[in-house]
Amino acid sequence: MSSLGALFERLRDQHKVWRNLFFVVLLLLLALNLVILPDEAHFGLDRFPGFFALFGLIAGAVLVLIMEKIVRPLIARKEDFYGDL
Amino acid sequence: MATSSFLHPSLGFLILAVILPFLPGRLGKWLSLVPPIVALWSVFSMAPGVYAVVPYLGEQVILGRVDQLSLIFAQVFAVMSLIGMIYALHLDDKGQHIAASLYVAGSFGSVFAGDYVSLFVFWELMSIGSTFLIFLNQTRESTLAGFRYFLYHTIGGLFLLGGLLLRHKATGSFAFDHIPSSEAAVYDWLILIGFCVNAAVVPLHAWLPDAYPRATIVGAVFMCAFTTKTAVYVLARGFAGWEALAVAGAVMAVYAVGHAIIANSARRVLAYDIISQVGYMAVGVGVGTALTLDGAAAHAYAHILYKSLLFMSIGCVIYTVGTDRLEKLGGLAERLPWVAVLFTVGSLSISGMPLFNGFVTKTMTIAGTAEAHHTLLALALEIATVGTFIAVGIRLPYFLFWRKKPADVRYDATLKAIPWNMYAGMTLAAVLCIAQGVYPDMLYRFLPYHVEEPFVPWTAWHVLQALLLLGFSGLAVFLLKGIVKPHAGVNLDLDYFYRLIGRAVLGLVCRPLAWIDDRWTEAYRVGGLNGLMAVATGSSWFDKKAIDGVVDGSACAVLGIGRLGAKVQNGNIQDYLALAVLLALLAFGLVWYLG
Amino acid sequence: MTATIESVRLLLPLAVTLVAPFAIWLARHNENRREAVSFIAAAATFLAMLSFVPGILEGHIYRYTLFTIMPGITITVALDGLGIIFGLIAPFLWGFATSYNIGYMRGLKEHAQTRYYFCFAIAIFGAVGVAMSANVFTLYFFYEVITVFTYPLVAHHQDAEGFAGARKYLVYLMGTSKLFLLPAMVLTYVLCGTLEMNLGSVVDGMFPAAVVAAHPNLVRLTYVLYVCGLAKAALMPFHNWLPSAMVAPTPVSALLHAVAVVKAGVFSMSRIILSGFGVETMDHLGLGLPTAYLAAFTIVVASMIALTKDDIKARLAYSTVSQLSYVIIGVALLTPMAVQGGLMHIANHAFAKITLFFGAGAIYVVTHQKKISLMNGLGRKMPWTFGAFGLASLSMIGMPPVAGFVSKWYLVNGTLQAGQTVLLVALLASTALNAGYFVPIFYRAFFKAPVIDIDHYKEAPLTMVVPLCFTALVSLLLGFYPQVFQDFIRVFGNY
Repeated sequence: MSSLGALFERLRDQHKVWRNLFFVVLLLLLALNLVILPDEAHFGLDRFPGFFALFGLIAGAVLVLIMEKIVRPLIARKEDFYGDL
Repeated sequence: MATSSFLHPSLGFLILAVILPFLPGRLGKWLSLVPPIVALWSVFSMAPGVYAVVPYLGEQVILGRVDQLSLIFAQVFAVMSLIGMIYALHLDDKGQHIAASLYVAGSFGSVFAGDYVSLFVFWELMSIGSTFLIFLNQTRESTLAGFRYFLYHTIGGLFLLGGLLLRHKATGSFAFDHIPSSEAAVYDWLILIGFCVNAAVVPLHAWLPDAYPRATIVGAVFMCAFTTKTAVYVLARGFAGWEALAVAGAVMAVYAVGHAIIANSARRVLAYDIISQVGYMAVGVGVGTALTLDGAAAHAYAHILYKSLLFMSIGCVIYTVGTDRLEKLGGLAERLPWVAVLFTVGSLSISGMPLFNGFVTKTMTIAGTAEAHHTLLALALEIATVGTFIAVGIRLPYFLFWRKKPADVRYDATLKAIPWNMYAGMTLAAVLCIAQGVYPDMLYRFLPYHVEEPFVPWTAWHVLQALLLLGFSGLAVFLLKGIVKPHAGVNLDLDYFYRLIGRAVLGLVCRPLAWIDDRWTEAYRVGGLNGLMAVATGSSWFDKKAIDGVVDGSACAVLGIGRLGAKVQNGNIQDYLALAVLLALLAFGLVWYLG
Repeated sequence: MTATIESVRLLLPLAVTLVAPFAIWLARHNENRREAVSFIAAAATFLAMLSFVPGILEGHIYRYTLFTIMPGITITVALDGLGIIFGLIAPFLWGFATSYNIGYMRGLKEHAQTRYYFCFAIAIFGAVGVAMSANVFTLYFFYEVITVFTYPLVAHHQDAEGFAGARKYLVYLMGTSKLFLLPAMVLTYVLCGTLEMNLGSVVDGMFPAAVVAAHPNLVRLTYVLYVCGLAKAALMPFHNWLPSAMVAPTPVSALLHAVAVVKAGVFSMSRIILSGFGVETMDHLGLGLPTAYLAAFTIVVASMIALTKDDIKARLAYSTVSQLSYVIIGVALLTPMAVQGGLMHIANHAFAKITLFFGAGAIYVVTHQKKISLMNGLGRKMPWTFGAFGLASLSMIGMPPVAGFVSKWYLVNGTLQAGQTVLLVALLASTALNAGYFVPIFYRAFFKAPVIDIDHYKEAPLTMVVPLCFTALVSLLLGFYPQVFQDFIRVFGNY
């Protein structure tokens, strides 16, 4: 295994550290959002701090939930459904 | 004004395609790098104007319409052809090089076509070249997929042909220019449909996720770049400002990203994501302001670079491990670390992370759309951004590279070594992604339309907004990580209906017609043949004197009948000649009576 | 200045093709000498035809009267822009067909080869005669010669199936010509007082305006009789003889479907419509559009039936039925672009279809296979055969830059000139249908795994592969240089 590969493996073993770092960054971004705001709001509401954070969270969650829980059960089929293989 | 020369970039590729079968392997491979380099030189040295007007089919056909719009697309095509040919250097299968050359030649031809006739010719050339890139994968699955792809694109091409012909009849011209949406006629919609097939607009899109995952490794790399972006170019040229297009783009962007989130093979995820990204471009074209059109062009440029990077890295995975199914992979970061790094560059680019080129192009498109007061469309694009990050930025790399290898996944002890040229191609694309991201002007300076206040991506707000959006979508995935898992199997899409229609036509129309035709043949045999024989025998008392008299003059006829008599039931021919004379007399009688 | 030139030289092609069969019979004991006669005759006929090209391109028409049977009924030969197209194609393809015949007949050790080459030569004699007919009687005579002398070719195998198919072929063609074509000729004579067609102008035709005005329905009846009588053009519902003639050896099918029989059919139809009736009369009596719609129906339905056939020759047969109606739809629409497209298609289809049949025959010689579903993987063993097949298929589908695209382009523009959108849709639909039944043959051969054991198969003999590659190449070249035949059409009848 190459040295870079070994490095990645070691980094993965530290995944809890990365997770915590991630949360810290998110909090930092939220804090920045209190200070840095758009000059002209495209969607009206985005002039409020936290809009895009909430948008990302909700849109992401809704997308995943709808696709995985509602759509996929309807359209999932076996690999060889069409008999092509 | 000084005349500048014009070397059509297609020329090099066409020549390569013709001579490759006759060259030894190694020479052919290195020669395949020449047309892209020549194309690059040509694109950077050509000046706007109209060149290469040639007569064809009774029309003056324009092969070289060069302006800012065609130049930027030609430029990225030239760059991409170089990247692709480098990536393909290891291939011994010349067929793929030839097919790719024809395909790229078709794309360049379409971009520089100044009228619908030459556009159509090059459009079909693209179709043929790309079909072979699928066929050459040589599995049962890919052969059937290639046939469906060809049939589908042929039909799409027929819409284009019908539209351009009707347009010619109505306007008297084949010129390919902007069509104002207020003047749209039926034939313009037909042309639009033809273009939308190649652009994979929903609901005409299902060919893309059907065919791209089944193409060859190199084939998919080429295909992800050219077909759809040529379609974006022609849409930008002809249909800028069509609101229907903008709405369709928004629908595409969200619909496709949904499929990408639940797809289970890496190339299918990427294929759906192509549709989603083209949706951004379609919105940009549909909204039609200078900023959004620039955004669409910029997005196309960046998309070619990062999408090909993504396909190239997945291609490497398939090359070494043999599959791209997510449930059969995992933990590849330590086995293929550099591929993982290059893939990450691509996935961060596509997600719009600052420092990469997706950021400087996506923000422009969305900003332009919002500024033109299409708030809902901009919102849809933001949702699509979230989805893209989830599908390609998190889910795909996690299950492929970063998660620990699950116990039920097995690899060979030593994975096949990845050829240097594949790394070279990927690195070139990655470097350009980062360079454009850090120094956006190198892309912006080629944008075709003049904007009053040039867009500046690197503002504190833009960066923060992007990071917030991506960061919190990531949080959503983290919280829902239990349900984002890959599953074995496929997800149905509208191609279910395409296949249904195909089978229905065969079963409900063609087979009954063949049955009727067989019955008609039978009826003829039973009724007609026997009936005729009866009448003929009955009239043969007529024949001997009359027939001999007419026939005596020509030696050939005597000889012929004599020869024939030996082979045929005796008297048959004379029966017919007798019948003939009888009918002739009847006809005379009829005429004399009626006339 | 255009002129009508009396020229005995016109008899040369006829003389060569008439003498050739006898020379073949005389040389019957030495295979190679016998085949050499065919080659020499083909070359001589072609060169003889070529000698008329310069004059014809200047707009002259050559004619010569052989003899008169009754006043107004003569055997007269002539060559103009339309005739020279067919006149050049027939001997040209005869030469290639002979090379191909050698490979096929010797490869399968066929019996009665002398009779075969003999009848082949006379069939070409008939084709050349049809091309050079100046009046209806001569046309009718040579038309029947083709029928009579292709009968032994169709029945060649002399088995029960062969005789049954050949009888159907003969009776169908003879039946329609006796029942319909003969009365049509008679009616024409009565109405016009002559059977001479108007070669100088496609506008006027041979029916005087007074006659058309006085007896419109009789003239219409005459037209209908012609259409029914020219069954060689395979217009539905008179097409069934074509698939039935599949019992013939494949080179015969190649000849039938590309060179002589069907081309004589559509050529005769074009000649009757353009030089017989003329654009004026056709327009005035409203005859063109119904013909065009019937042709469109044939185009679409025959393509749909072709989709269901697994036997490669059956599929090609229905494809021919469909493609012939391209010529008819072009000529019947009567607009300049449509007529150009239709007449060009006579040539384009000839080269592509003969390639396809040559290919099918090569496959049969090597593998004895006729079913497409069993041809998987064969392309890797016979790359040149299937490669040429693929190129010819592209021409039939109508993909640029191959020849078929050019004639299709003119045809679709022609439908628009005539304002017929339904016909435009029919032509476009047939493109998709053509793709549907040609592409599978190609991809099966190259990209699918074999279903039968094909390891021991090799490429077909050179005598077969060379002609079929050459005709495929011509298809490609005609796409880049359509002017070759366009020039002849331009000077035809002052159109």
